[in-house]
Amino acid sequence: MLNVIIKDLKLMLSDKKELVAIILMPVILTTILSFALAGSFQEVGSEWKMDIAIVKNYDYDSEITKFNNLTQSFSEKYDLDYETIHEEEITDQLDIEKIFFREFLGSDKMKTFIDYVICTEEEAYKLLEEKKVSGIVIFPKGFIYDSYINLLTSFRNNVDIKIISHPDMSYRKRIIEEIMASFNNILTSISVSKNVYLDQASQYITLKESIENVETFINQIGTEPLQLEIQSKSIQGKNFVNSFTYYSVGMLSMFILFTAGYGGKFILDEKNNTTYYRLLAGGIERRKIIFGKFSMMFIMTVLQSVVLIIYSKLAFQVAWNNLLLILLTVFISSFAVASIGLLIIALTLRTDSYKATDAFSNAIV
Amino acid sequence: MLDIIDIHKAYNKTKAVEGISFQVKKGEMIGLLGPNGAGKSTAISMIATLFKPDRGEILYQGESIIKNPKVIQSKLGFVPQEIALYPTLTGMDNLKFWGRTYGLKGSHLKEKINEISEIIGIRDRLKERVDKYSGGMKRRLNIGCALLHNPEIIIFDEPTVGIDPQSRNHILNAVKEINRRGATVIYTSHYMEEVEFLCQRICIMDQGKIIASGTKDELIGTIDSDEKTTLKVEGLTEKMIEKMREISYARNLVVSDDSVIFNRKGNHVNYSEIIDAISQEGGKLLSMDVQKPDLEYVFLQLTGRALRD
Repeated sequence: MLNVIIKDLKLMLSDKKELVAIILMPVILTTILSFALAGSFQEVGSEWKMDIAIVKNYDYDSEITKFNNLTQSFSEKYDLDYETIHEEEITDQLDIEKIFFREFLGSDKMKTFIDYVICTEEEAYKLLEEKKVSGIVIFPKGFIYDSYINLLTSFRNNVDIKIISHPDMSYRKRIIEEIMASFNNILTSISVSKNVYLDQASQYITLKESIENVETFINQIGTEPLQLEIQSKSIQGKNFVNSFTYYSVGMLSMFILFTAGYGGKFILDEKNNTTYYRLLAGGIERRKIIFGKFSMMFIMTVLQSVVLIIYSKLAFQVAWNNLLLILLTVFISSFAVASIGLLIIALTLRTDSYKATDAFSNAIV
Repeated sequence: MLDIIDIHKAYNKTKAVEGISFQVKKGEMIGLLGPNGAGKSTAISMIATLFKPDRGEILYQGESIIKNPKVIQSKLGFVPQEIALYPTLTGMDNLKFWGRTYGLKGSHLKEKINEISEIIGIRDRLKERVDKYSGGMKRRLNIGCALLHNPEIIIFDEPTVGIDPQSRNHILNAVKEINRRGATVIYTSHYMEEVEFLCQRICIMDQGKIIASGTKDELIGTIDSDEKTTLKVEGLTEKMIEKMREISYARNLVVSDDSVIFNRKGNHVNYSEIIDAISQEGGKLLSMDVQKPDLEYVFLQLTGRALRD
């Protein structure tokens, strides 16, 4: 049995191309990607905070006036005693600017990781270019008007908020998008509640009464605290993930999975060059041949992991923390990978082609 | 030593082996001769325990190797038709691996590697990777790997396919030497001259069956085995041909241009009557070619096809 395992390991190690692919490639790729994308990651140990620039392309006063004119004409047309909306009369809860800047971005939790600056579009781009901000949020012209239309009437106007980020910090764009989506959810929930109110109220009171009371209803919703919950957890002893740590772990995960494909390749090579049959003729049982491949994959995966862990530790000071836990993880993951390899071997033997190996390596990994 | 009794094997609906039976005696070299697709490789694969026959029995020293393959596996050396080696390993690594597979270890393994690499003539190239070897060297190493454990029976499945004449001679001599040292050899080939050169007994196979078996002389004796004689004559005349037709040992005489071809009957013939017939009619004998019957001819007579069709 040991003889078969040693032979399989020698075969693996003797193929320089394969060896480069599974041992050196993760090392090389980790190095290149870690350096190339270091800018996208926070420095280890630094406080994580994001700066964003906010551009207000809308004209608050004129858009409020425009909306007032619309509601007035609407009231006259349908003979409603609909209160006009102007700055003094918009309650605090319905002031969209206030909701966004004071209650949303100004909440204690948001303030811990977001700083914002309000500026013109030109200034914002300059700040982004200089990487002084992580992204720009641009509120379009008509934002206030369209938002009130959506909030207070049964009409729907598109509100197109732009989010721009630096190409080096694309993942931060996703964070800003998530934040803006949360804000949008708040506005949407108000709007939906209003529609539900109109539907339900019309069953008990006249349409005129229900429309006249809609603002009172919305004000009541608005007095409820915002349903924005930002959860933050701190884990003792964990460091921030830098690009080296991120790519070391990522590359390791990907390349050890590649090793699973080698089981299928090796068994079929063995069949193709008829050593498989020679082994059978020599009294070596099928299960021993397959166990040899399993062991080879297991050992290669451990080797891959150890090489990358040592390299990343020495070259990039990646903190792998608890060595025992890491070793245990390496052994368990290697066992899992070798087991996947066994499945591929079974499929390969059944189909008698490299398809299973190729499908796993190319499609799945 | 080995009894093959009425074994059958079919792949899907194709019958690869149809009821072949033969015996292999200890120390003999037996050849399975037949064209490609005759069923030789399938037959020996069953003897090598690679797969079981659909029907029939194979006994090694009276014990069934179908029921218990282990009785023969450690005594068997198998040289497959393809190069069954690990190309990215060195010749030495290959020999070590196959030696250990058969239980050899330490200094004994080293000695055997030295001995076998000498016989197959690759001792000075053992440290090179096999994929750097020539085709002939790979073939020889392929054989060497089957000899390390001193097997009692060695099966050679067309070991000289696709190699140069020099390597072929080397391999044939090595096989002969292995047999001389006491190993029993089963040798398959579609090269008649190899089987003739090596084997004491020959089974001729075609379409999954053994169509004839015996020593070379016995096989030739089974057919109408006259020598084929071809004469080239200057000034060939009808009268001359008539005279030749009257000679008792010249059978099936035909004329083609200036050549006269006939089957010569009998072993003690000196051709004087033929020469007289030509000279008396004023002709001149330019050449005479006497072709003895061989296994190729036997196969042709038995199947109506040439061995390498």
